Amino acid sequence: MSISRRNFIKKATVVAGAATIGAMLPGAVNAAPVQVPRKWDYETEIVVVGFGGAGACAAIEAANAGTSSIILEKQVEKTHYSNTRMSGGIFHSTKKEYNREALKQYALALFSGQNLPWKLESEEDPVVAEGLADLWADYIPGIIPWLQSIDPAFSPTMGSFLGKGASFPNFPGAKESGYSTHSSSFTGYTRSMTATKDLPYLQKENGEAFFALLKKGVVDRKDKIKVLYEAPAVDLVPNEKGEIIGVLAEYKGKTIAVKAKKAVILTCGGYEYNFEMRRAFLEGQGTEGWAFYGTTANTGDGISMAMKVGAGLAKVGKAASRLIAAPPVRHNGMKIGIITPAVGRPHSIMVNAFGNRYLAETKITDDPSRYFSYKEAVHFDIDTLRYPNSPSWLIMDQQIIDAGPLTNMAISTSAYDFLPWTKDNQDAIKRGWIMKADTLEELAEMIKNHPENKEQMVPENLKMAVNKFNEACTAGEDKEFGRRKATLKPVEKAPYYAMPLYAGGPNTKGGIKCNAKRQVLEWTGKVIPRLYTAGEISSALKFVYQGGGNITECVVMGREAGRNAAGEKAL
Amino acid sequence: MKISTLLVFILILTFSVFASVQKSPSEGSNRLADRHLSEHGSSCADCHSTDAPSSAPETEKCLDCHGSYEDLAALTANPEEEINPHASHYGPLPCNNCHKSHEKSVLLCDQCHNFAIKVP
Repeated sequence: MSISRRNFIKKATVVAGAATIGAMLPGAVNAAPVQVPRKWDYETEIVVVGFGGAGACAAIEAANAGTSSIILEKQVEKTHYSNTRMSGGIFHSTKKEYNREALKQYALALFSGQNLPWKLESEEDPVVAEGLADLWADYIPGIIPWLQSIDPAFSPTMGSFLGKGASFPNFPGAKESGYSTHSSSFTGYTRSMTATKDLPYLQKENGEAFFALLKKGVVDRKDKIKVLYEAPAVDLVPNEKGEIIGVLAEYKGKTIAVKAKKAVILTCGGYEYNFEMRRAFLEGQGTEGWAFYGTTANTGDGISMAMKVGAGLAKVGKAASRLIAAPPVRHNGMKIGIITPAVGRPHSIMVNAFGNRYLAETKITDDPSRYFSYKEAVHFDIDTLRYPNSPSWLIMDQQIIDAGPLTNMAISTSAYDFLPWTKDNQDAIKRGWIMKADTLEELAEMIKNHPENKEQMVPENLKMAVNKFNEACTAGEDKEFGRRKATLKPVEKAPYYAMPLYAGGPNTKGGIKCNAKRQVLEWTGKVIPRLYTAGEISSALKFVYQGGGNITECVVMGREAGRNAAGEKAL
Repeated sequence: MKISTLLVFILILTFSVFASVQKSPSEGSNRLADRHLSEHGSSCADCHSTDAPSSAPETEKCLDCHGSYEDLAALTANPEEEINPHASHYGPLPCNNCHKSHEKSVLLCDQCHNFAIKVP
């Protein structure tokens, strides 16, 4: 399934047509009970399901402890795009001077919020959350040396040297923790405005550099780690004692049985492209009202497999999300999103289905609100019983179009062949991904006729919203919503443009229930023996999210899972 | 014979156009390089070391005149907007990541954020 752009879009359209008849069901996970196979096709100490950041870190850590593993990856190697790879490659660490207890408290606030005095409850089992916060405090100060132990050439950005590294300055420990965040590179800088996917190793940046490093770590340990591509796991194999002793996978046209003498680690991501899980877990209109801008390979397989062996769930509906654009391109019936830093830029506003502004657009891109701003997109009007903000509309004039790409072309879906984009935004306009009209009245009519607006747009409202916003720009203050001042530049220069915005982000974050050793738990809290998990499928960031948190936990929780799995007694 | 003459001519023309682009700071618009030349009377060599520049100046060259990165951060501290482009999570960056001398400057931050700060 190599993805030539044209074919991909063509296929996506065809699939979209078939979406309603069940084409979106995830592949292979079935409901029938699993028998211990008479013959194993492969034997290893640890089976890692999913070759993303967490899986790679788990396998590397286990290999460093002398333990062998097989990584089952369902994607084709040539177009193996994990969310780690498609990400900004941002991770958390600390300055040289840091306070461990403050660091732990800050992590605890992110994970569960149990140390915030105003909170009624912890969003995670408080004992588990404390254990996880300890891991954070133990691992992240040394995260760069560990990454450089894979390849000394890895040279991340220097990180916050003056300003605050913590996104939530009022949280316990934010100041004293010495928090810093870094971006991934081999030069000490990230500067590319376009994809680095096809550049030589040392010129890669962002998630591309981060994942290239981890892949090198895996390949360099080939005596201990074997990767099977195009091998989707379909079932966990429990023995009569309920211990997980292997995995069944589809490989080269048949089902293979892979024995895990020590443990299985689930690191196969969220459920961004599982239609039924989205409908079950996401807020609001979980399938049509949402889009994601990471890999299309995340179909919740690990969640299904873990549930089948009795795993409990935790915060499955969590997704660090905002309002993002999604062109009319679908994968298995679901919209593919793009990272949309353009929301709230000068010369643009955001309006709801009726043409009214409802939020300071800068809250969608600014801390502390940005990763929670999707809450506005899924807003349910209790009087009209409608979702008035789904989709919302980014209204733009010619100046924002001319100012640069509306997406970040260095990462995410545009950098990985899913949604090709050009610097001048013109391709997207030509394709109709961005609607264009000479007047605001015409633009309002186009929105009204858009199949997802359901004729709710009131052209006079849009006109009024633009006028009022432009007046606020002249006054230098957005009294109505409090948008950040630097962005108050009018929507004034024809032609005008519009793109629909949906709730969405890079990934979902929940949720297999697990403890601080990263062992998967039943609903009762009982450990499912020899089954571990890390990464987005079981994110530790269950209360709030700071950018880069998912990449960081791939390392912290991935390593911890790998270390503990390696410590199991071999069967 | 005729064709090869034409080829040579085209080659010369191409080269001279290329060379003149190299020489002209920024095709007549008000770019950083123009301002350095007109407002401070600098020569190409002041930044590029030679008057027929062969590569972009190193960051140190910028800092020779503009002070340390920390000084710059102090200059751009902006309590009202709470955003300081010189104190980001990237740490000190090469100046020409954002400040382009011969084309329109950009704000690298805005690849992910939306700070909308005007970059000179």
